[in-house]
Amino acid sequence: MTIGEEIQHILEPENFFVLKVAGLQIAIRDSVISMWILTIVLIIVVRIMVKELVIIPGKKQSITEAFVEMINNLVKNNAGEHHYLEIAPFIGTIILFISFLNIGAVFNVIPNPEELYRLTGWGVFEKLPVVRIFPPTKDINITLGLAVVSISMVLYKTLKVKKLKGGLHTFIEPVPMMLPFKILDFVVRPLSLTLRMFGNVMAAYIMMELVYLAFPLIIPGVLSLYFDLFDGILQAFIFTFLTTLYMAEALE
Amino acid sequence: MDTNTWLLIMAAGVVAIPSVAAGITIGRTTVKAVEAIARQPEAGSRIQSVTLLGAALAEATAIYGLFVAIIMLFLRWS
Repeated sequence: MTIGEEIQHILEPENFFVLKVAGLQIAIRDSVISMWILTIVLIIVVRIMVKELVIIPGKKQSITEAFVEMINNLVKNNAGEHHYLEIAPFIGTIILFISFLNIGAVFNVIPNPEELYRLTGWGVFEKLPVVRIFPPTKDINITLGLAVVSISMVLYKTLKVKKLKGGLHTFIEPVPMMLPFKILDFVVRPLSLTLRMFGNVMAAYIMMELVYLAFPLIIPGVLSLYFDLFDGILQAFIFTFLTTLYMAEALE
Repeated sequence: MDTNTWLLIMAAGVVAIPSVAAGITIGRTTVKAVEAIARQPEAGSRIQSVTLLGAALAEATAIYGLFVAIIMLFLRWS
């Protein structure tokens, strides 16, 4: 395979299976499968962390409390004292979820059956399906979904805190001439959130795949620290931070 | 040269120019942030978050360049 074909193979999502519901065909892609696996892992981790909450915290509970405290402070610094409890749970959820999705390549511990077959020659491995865990956010549909969720949440919180009249009134502040720009904001903001995270994660993923092709030993481990862990968590933080700012602007 | 080759060359050029711009901008952002923190260390955390935001917005241009380049590569393949 040439490098061009390799990149093309990386970019194109594969259909894992197709659901047929009431005459509709819903394709379940491999990125969705990855997302489900990572979500289950995240749910288990969170369940373990919040089990048995007591007044005098142990080791586990201290970590949880420090994380919650960090999120609360982040929101309080940017959105003000009044409404920070309104949005802090949502912000905490998406920063955990997106961080987990972005560093998905770290969890790719399932060995490739084709490679095992080539190494050992046992026929058992040939029949196993190839399950790869990769960052699902390298698929633009999933980042678009996340951005739409976050911008809908901004609209919902505006209407909930300011009630219907006050919420709609924010569209014509400070002058009614701003109306088209305010409406345009709701298109441009999710689009820029989508493209920023998609571009970063996918570029990092392609870089890592090319490094794996060129030097399979040791060097990927060092580069993975930057491209998988640091870049993924930074992008999750930026996504969350921008969402906080949009909410803070709407709630002021 | 045929259209495919031209699209490949243009894709490389398209991704290179915004990257230079983004690199210069992020460098300037960081320089100013370092100066600001040196002048007022107590405002460090606030400056840090604003710097991250500025760097992310500057980086967006490079990402749009990358996105256009990928679209061009898809045009070439199909």
